[in-house]
Amino acid sequence: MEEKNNWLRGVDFYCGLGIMIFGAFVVVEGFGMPLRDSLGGVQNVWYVSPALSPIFVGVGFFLLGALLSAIGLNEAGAGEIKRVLRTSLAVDTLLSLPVQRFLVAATIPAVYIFVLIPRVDFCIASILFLWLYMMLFFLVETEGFRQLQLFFALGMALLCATLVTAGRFWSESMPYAGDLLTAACTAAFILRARGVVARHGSGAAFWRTLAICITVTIILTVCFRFFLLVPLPTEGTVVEFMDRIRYNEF
Amino acid sequence: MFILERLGTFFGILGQMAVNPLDIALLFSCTLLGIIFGALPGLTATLGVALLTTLTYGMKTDLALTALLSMYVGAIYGGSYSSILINIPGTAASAATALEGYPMACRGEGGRAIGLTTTASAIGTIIGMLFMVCLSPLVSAFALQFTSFEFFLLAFFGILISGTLACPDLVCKGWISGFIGLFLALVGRDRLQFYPRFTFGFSEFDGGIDIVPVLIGAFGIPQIIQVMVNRMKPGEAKPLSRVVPEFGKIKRSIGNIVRSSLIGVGIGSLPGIGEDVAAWVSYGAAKNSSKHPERFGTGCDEGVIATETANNACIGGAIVPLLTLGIPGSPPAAMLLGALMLHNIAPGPMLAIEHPNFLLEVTAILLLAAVAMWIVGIYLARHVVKVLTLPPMLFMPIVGLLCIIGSYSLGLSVFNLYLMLPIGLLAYAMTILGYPIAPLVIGVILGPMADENLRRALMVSQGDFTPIFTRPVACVIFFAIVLTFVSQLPVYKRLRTRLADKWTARKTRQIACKMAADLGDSKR
Amino acid sequence: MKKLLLICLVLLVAAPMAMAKKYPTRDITNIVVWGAGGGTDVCNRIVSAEMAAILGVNINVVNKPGGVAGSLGMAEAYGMKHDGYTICGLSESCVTAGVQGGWDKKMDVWYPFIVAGSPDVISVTPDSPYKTLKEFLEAAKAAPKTIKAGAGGSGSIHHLNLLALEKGSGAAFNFIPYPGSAPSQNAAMTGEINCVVTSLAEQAQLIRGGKLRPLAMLTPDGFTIDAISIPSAFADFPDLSKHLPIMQAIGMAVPAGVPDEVKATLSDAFTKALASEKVQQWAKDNYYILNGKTGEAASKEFAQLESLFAWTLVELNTTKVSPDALGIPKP
Repeated sequence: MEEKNNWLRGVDFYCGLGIMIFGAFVVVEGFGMPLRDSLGGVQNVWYVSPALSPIFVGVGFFLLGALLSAIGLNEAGAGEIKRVLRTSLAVDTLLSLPVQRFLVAATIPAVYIFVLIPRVDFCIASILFLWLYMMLFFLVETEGFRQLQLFFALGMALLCATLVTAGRFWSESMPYAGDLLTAACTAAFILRARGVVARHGSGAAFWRTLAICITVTIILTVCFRFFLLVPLPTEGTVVEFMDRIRYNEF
Repeated sequence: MFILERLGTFFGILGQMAVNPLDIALLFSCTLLGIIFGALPGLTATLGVALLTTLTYGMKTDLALTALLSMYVGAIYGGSYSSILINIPGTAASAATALEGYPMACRGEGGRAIGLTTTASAIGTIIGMLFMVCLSPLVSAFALQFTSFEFFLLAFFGILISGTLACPDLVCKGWISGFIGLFLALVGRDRLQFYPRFTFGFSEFDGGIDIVPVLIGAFGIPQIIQVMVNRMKPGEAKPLSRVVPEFGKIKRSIGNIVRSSLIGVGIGSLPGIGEDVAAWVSYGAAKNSSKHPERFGTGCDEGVIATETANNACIGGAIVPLLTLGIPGSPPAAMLLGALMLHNIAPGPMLAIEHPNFLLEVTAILLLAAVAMWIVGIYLARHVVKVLTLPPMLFMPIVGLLCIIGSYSLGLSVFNLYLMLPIGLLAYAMTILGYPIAPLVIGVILGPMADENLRRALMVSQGDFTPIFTRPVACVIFFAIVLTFVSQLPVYKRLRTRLADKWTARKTRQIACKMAADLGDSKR
Repeated sequence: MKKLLLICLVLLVAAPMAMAKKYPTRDITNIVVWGAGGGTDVCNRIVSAEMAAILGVNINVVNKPGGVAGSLGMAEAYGMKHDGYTICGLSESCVTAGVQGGWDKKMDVWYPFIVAGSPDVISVTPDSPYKTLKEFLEAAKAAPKTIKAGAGGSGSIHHLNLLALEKGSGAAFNFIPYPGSAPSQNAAMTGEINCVVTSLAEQAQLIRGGKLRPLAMLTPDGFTIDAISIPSAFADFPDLSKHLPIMQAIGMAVPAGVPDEVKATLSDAFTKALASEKVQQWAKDNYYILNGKTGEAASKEFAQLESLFAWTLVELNTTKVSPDALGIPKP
């Protein structure tokens, strides 16, 4: 407990320094804002200027950051602080299990939000997101999990690279190419994972998870698109298909 | 005589509605829909009312009104479900409930917590409604007293309260969290002169950072990541003995309930400030006046009652200025204004003359909605708690998806999603390092109000601060600020303990003397 | 065999033409660039509901506020396919999106339909000593920059009306900005400011309830609400006709690149909707003056407003992009 506390104080020291720098940045930006001339029909004085709050917030950050660093230095001592810096940047901390788990738990939503949602049909993207997110934490005890993880990582990297770079070129000629590519990718993942899971013996749970993913996504898409009348971020193949069913355009 | 007449009309309207099957069906279904809207993170009461506005456009006005008001009441209450069960607020109004409700759920008292929030919400709605019907002139007069100075002082008071909330670690970390919130509030074009601050050239930032992505990012994403990384269960569900809270408990909390309702109605009546601010201010006030403030933050009943009563009382408070002055008191009330205009009812000073029974109709609907909400809530409590038994690995990704699509639905903006994730990761880092998240959210909500109103107040008074002391309401709020500040100082706390000890010692002596006298009497 | 092939070929060619149903076959989405409950939102909802009944499909109104002067909503609506299934609900305030850096096009990329506008009126608090506009402006001229005036946000149409009033009468006010019309009206009621300029539709209920006292309409004609008759400002100050009126233009638009069939169908439905009993009654009850211009005529009105707004904002020093860079001519 004592050790954890010291470690926290050590980190606090660096955070405090970072906050001080940030505070200085905010104050500098603040002074760049109009303090004197008229803007928008309003004559500027110090208390009217848009710079009032940034300067106040910046100064606050600076003082609080200094206080935090001081407390950190006081309670942890200089030796501990150097040790924290060394261990945080050490290779085995960066590769340890909790950090890995965190990277996985944070990267999947990041890829979903930044790459998939703006480019791929919402339904397909969500199925991929849900399934991947569930699988990676579900399958941890399975043997052969390492290779599966690597396969997923490579596959996702390839998919994202293709979507981001080539997306612009095929949007006129083949409107749903991105959707088809993502669907193919998902299918590949599922087949590969099935192989691993079948050897391990938890086949029923695997199919159940897949079924849950697909059902939940479809229910949500229908509810949001047709009952709440919310236009989805990207409406591609699947939503077009649902539209056709609804308007009987066959 | 006039009052008796009004009462008669009121009960007449109530009776008419209670026996109309269409009304009752609409009431219950819209309340249920409202609770679902509130419970899903990202879907807000405003969105629900907006949706029903479109759907009820063709209906008769009183039916449409039943639907809209039940949805409003249900949604404000429904947010507490996800706050308590998964620590992700379903609506901004229930963010404060998460602070107390989630620890209770972790202890296995989830069902009891939901029972408390249901009853507190129902009582809050009814008290708000009473204010609406009896004291509406007072409430609108109160709303008209607020100028820029008062708004600034209120915002400052709210921000100060966030500094008194529980901190897992050092006190200065709470302040840093608040300042981060204030900084996020600064991003965008300033509201007085439209000068872009911290937008770095992105025009998407011009409107500022929306509260919903910040709320979901700050509360939801750390929770989801934590559950996934630590593979922990959100909480257990002990076998449910009793969901409906004991009457004695309600009787003992009556002071808390009345105070929270007053705060809810008061803040609701102020234009632009809604249920979320009411809940936080009420929570802070409850903590400051409680006998055991150290229990707040670990799952205590008083906190849950305070927040839920306030945010539901706010509904009544927001509707009063809406109907008497045409000024909506909160964002969902603003949506209600649009809905009323679509049905050709123009809220404002002429409403009492053109539609004399309108206020009574609205009151009757609110009363029925509160009752319906209580019935549906108590029934759902048992079943909803079973959510805690779902395997978190399957449940959390689905919650993540709901958060994402919910936070997209409000502004139809993918940029909100882009914002949500980095804020979420920052909040996760903050949670691990022991920073409280609540001050950040309060800073984002109240920051713009404080900044804009201070500058405008000084613009109007030409740099003069004396209106704070000459205007009555401003003086009162300033006094409250000073009191809150002083009560946090160690000197004051020591004084209070010493006085309390002296009083206890004297009482003990008195009782001992009395006992000795009695004994002496009985011996004779 | 050859006959079969010929029949197949004919069917193949004829089928798409037979399948091509008349617009509209699906629900239309109306993206309103301002928040829910506001003037633009309510106008769009009422007219959309009437148009939906005429066209036979639903028109779903959604709100997408944000960016500067509605730039996010306009960008979204313009970015959808130009097939007539996405309409944008906008107002005259959106013309400033370009010069404020939110958008990179001019308003001529839209094919607009103008629903209505409400004339602006200047009012004071009920306990104010000024009973006519003349008295008020004399007092303002005697003590320049001391009388506090509110007019919605800086750069909004009401602010422009206030500036025009100042230019045409020679008075100078102390302008206090608020985030919108409603907060500035509240401030006038609480006495924080001395007068407020917003539209009649927004002030009507407060005027009728006696919470605000109207001094004059900023249009050539006066107006009468209940028993209160509001004179026109032009009566005492004919110079104002050089700068006023600047009328609101709330309405909807489709991208100019949609097929002509779409434009014709929508214009037809729009005109019929505006002529309907419900919309007429609603406009009368809420003090809106129906406009009804579509296409060419509406575009011209928007272009005029765009010039006026853009160059006024240059004077106010709030532009990010010069109007010249966008090709906006001087008014």
